[in-house]
Amino acid sequence: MYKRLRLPLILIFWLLVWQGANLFISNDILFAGPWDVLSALGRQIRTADFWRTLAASFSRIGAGFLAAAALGIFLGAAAGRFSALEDFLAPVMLLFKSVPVASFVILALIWIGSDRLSVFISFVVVLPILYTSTLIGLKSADPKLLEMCRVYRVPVIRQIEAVYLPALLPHLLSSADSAIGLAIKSGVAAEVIGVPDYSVGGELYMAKIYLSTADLFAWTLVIIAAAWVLEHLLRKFLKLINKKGQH
Amino acid sequence: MKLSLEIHNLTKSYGKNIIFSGLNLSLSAPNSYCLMAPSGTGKTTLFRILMGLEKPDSGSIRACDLLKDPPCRIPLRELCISSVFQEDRLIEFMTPLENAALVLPGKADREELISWFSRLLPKESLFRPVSTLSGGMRRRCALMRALLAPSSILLLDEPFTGLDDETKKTAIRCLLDKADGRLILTATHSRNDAALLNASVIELPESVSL
Repeated sequence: MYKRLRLPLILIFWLLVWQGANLFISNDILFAGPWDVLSALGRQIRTADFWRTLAASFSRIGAGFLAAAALGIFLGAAAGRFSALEDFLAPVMLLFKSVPVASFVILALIWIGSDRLSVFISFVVVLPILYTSTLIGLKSADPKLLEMCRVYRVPVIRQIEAVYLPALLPHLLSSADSAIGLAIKSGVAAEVIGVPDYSVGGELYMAKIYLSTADLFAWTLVIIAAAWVLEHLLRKFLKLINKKGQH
Repeated sequence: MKLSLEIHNLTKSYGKNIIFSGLNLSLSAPNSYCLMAPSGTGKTTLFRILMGLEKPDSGSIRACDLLKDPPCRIPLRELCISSVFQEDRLIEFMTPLENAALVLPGKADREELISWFSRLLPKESLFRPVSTLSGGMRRRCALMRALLAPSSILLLDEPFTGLDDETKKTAIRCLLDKADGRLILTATHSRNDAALLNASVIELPESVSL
């Protein structure tokens, strides 16, 4: 009984803290309470532009994510096979990892403009993460099992199924999870700088222009919710693939 | 094929630890041999050299097919080898049947696999992932995999660890039934195993440290 009530009670407590802070500050520009945010959200949801904005932003970020995932896994697998390629790619991946997202955003604005900006940014953020985890995952394949395969002359395709995939999938699972969160956060940040039409980041920028804190909070909630949904969809999908590798 | 192996003057050392030096052995199928030696005297190393997983420092190994006239030499890396490793080395999420099918070329005959495996393992265990099996069952599974794989030599590195006397006897009967004229080389501590396997005993000399 206590366990079942605990979570709702905790949530209610923090909502009350939020509302209390709102009453204390009592300034619509500096802070928005839960009720203001909810009504701002309700206003937005009823418009067609809201859904169009949401779809446009997340399809761009998703496209970048999928392209980076495909290339990252492919390059990671190739680098796992050929160590020369790993060394060759190491500076590029290090560059992608260490250059600040903001620098990439400005560069992308100059190169490709604001429309496809977040595709590029989510691509650049996700690529090194999935590349690295693919590489590490493949390297974690049990050398004893690989020796066994060599002695028995197990064909490569069967080795992949029996040894490499089960070693790879747990790594991929956990990194894809954090990669999608990062893709969304940095994709939206890029949109705030580039302000493309129909974008979540553009809406955040508008909220700043009009000093509409309630809208800022509302869009933030939307981003969190969408990221949560996408992470869960991805996790479901990867679990489905992983079913064979489950111990 | 009727395999013969001539091991000539084989030497292997790790740093200052000489595993064996000037080892000479003459082995031929369909005979069974037991390598008897205290732990750490190079039984596993010898097996690894035969499997091509390790290079000897010097010496040679010649494999010949005695059925050909004149007997023709086979490069070591073309030799088909079945091995029970010191560890089981099974694919954990696969069933015993799938583990065997993995090392068989082409599509395995499921009924045949089941009939062989049920001599060593309870039938219900054949359809479970090996991760759910006990240590002794996993050992028998590794042995069965080695027996079923097509090969001309069986290298068994202490294949009966964790088996009680009764299961060991069943396993040895099964091993002899499925030997198919292959050369069998077993590493073991027990003279009793050698007798049960009807094997000639080979004593490896103690390794020396310089």
